[in-house]
Amino acid sequence: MNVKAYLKIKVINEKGKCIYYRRYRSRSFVIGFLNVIFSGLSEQGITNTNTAGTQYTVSDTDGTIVNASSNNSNYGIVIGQGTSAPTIIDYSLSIFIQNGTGVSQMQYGAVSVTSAVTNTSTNTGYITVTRTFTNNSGSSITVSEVGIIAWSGSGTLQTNQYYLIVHDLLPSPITVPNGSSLSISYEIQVAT
Amino acid sequence: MERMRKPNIDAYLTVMVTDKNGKVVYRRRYKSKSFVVGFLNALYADFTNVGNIEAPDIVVGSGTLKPSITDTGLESQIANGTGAGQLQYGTDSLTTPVTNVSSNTGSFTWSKSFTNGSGGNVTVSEVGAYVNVSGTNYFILHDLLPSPVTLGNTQVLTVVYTVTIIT
Repeated sequence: MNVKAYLKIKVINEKGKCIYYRRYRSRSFVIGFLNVIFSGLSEQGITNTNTAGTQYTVSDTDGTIVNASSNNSNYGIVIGQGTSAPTIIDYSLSIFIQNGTGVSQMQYGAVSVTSAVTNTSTNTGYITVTRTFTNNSGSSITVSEVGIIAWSGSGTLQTNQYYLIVHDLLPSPITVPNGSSLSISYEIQVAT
Repeated sequence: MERMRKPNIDAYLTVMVTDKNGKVVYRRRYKSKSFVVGFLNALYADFTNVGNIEAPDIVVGSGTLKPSITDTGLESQIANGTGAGQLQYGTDSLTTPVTNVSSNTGSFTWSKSFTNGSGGNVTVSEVGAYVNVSGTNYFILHDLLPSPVTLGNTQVLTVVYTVTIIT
């Protein structure tokens, strides 16, 4: 196999100490990713489903933009509390955790994407997509699912849509105490 | 490390030769080992709003070196034309993604044909592909064929990449 993704999860308490760390092999890409890549390559419109569950026709100029700014939970890495196994046709998380400081909400940081790192000895390379979520809700929050939502862009001929490209159910839910932060990092690798 | 399940994006490479009557005289299907760092660079550009991935271009060559992660092109690309050692490049063609909810898989195919009008034999031993993001070409795939394919005059080589995701 040639392209794989790893999911790294870290919880940092209010004193800056790492209290939880796991690295999983992700199973994660869903059909929205394939649809938009196909449309760009083929210059053909294709039906896709946005995160609201509404079908739309992808433009061949739509992007797969994930570098959302802080407090923007419309796209980028997102988290939820659902427990259903992901399927190829998923278009959203099962139970989405909203951005904010209210009950069961977490504050979404900015998404960072690092450029490719290569290792010529092992013939491998990777890029990472990372986001931090801070719990200031006043009580602990459990996170059980993670995903990446992409934005198509809103330029001329772009559809201004949000669509799911990755969905992972965590093998073990994570409890994030009040005052702690959760860091999620996807490492997308190729091996030649 | 805990494992969540299986790998997620695969590519398969099918090479097929047809004669002047359209009869298939050679066919092989391989699991591609092929994505190189250009794929990550193109994905990075798309993720960060530089532009979207477009302009597919499958290419063939006669090189024999094993692909490496930093390759930026084929070792020895066969030129488009009807001169000695050349092949006539067709148009890249893609099929609409097919989704199978029972197996939780989805795939599309990306293909191109190459016609030998050179008057002699032409041997193909490597295959690759480019895409473009906002005016920059990225070499994203590079496969060395386990067995080189020799095309007789008038024969047509069809290369098909099947890109598959498994959820």
